[in-house]
Amino acid sequence: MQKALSVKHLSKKYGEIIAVNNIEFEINQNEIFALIGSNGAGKSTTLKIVATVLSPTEGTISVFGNDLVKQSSQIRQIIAYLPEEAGAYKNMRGIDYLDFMASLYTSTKEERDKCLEFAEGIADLRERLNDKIKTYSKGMTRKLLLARAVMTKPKLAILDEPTSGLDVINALYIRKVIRDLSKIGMSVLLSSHNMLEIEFLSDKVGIIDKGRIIEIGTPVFLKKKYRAANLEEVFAKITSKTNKT
Amino acid sequence: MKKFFMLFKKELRELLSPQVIVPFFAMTFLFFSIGKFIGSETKNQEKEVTVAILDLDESQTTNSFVEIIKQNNYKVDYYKDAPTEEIITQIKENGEKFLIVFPEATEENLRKNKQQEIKVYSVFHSLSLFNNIDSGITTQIPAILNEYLSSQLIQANVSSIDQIFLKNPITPNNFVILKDKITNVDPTSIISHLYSQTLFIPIVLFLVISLASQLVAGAIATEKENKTLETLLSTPINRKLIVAAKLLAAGTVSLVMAILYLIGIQSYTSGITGESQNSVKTEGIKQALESLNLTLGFTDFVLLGACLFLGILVALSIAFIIGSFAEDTKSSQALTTPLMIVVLIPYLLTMLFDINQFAVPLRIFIYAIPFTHTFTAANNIFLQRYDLVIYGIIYVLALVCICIYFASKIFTSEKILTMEIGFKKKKKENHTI
Repeated sequence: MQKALSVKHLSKKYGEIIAVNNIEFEINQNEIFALIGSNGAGKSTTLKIVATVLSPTEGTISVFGNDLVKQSSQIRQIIAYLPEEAGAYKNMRGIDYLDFMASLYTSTKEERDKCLEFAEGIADLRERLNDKIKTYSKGMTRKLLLARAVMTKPKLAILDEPTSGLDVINALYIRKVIRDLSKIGMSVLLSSHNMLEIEFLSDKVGIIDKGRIIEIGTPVFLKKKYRAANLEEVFAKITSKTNKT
Repeated sequence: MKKFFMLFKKELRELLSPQVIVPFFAMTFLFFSIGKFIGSETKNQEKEVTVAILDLDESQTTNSFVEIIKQNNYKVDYYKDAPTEEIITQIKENGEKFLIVFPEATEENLRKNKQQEIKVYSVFHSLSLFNNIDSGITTQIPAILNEYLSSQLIQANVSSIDQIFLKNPITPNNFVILKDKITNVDPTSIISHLYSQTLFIPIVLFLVISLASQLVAGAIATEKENKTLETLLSTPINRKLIVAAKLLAAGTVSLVMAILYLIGIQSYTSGITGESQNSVKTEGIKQALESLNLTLGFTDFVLLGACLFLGILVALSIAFIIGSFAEDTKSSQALTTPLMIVVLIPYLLTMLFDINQFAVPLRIFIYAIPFTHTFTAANNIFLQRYDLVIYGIIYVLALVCICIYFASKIFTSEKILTMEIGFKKKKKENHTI
């Protein structure tokens, strides 16, 4: 079966600074893959590269068989990217924002209406969609942005810290949406430093530290391997071990 | 109090960033230099007013006129016994601006207490403000001569003299010469009418260019600040379309705003000058302008339109590149200030001077600024310097292409997100995605 995402020997340098250092991982179709790590570990940079926003310094990336450097425009048709702390056009109404973003992906009104219908269900903002975005709370904006990201039913959704800064209710809702999306055939690459959230959400986890992936596996496998009660303990054990070496 | 000073010191440190200080000093230096330059030009204008006099009467009276003119600090080029056309050609070649012709029988007519008409020719070498600042001479010299003659008549105590003759023994008949055209009109009315029309072009242009530059740089900075740019870049839209949409939107908004400004300024000035109330005079000037070829035909409008459009486009594309360096709207405003200075230099210089009369290095420097061609377009078209207009169009078009190429290069690469002005040397990364 074709891989949703295949990352090989990926490195990213900003001058002298190495943000991502020779990492490799794969995502199967319908799988939720999470990159976990502390702040500045290289999670967001990796996601930005996969989202075609940044370019790799070294390595190859393939999204559903398309090469990231050579076929970036084809890749943009089948992915959706939700950046960390992303914003929306504040003077637009929620519904107009969704309509505008849908129009960038679709060519007919029918397709656009389908996207909008799906997004309205995901955003769960009902009549507040008719209000300007600048009146929204952080949770409402994040729901709107998640709806925007997945309304085209992309083959691969790239979600950077999808629940960062949200209250428990909103975070739970967004986790449920992500889970449901994978059930309808979407592959998901997400990042978080909330290990417990990842344990609940993801099929496979990659632990990244100082730009390197130091462990990959399912949450169950990793907990068993490191004799840990949860992913937080796994992460603490792995990083303390690498720091010593 | 100590706490207040601590706060005060912190606020000063925040406000006096290099982004604020550098444009401030640059502006001060610019205005200082322009002030100095204008001062020296004004002195030159004051020093070098030469009046050519063609004396066809060669009488004692006309000789005394020449002496009086000299006594009033005018340099006189004296000609006699020559056709007027020949002298006109000569003063045009010499770069002189004024010719006064004393016709035959001047002395005889004045002795008979008959008003004597003298012909006053003004040559327009350019349409700049400072070049024509001394056009008042055409009324000043006849006034000096009238004062001299009137005082002599009063001293002679002639009782039967006509009051009108006593006040104005001499009446000037004004002519304006532009290129190979001559028309019978007062030069001051031509100049004031021309400025009431042509001054709008640089004002509006300056407004459009300033507004458009700030809008487009602000548009990119806002996308970065609101964190919407990354989302936009990950969509399947061709990034060149994003560049084009931003440039076109900023251009349209600034054009609409400029038109509104223009309507406001025009109604303000027509209210002051009361042009509409003096339609007979306006009609006369209109005819004079037509006979001097100072009206724009269809081709002229096309050329002028092309110059204006390219001027706006080059400003937009430069501002786009500048905006790419900005991290937020505050820094985008600071970054566009140097561009405003670059616009301001030709704006002021072309309005005040004929830059074609400057020294070659200075002329090259000013013509290297793309906006110069936009600001000088109208005057160059009026003066039929089409070669300068065409070269300007070609030069600005080439610059526009280069700037748009770089703007789209930045936007189609990750540089749009990673570029910023800093002092650290960064390794170049040239991947295009």
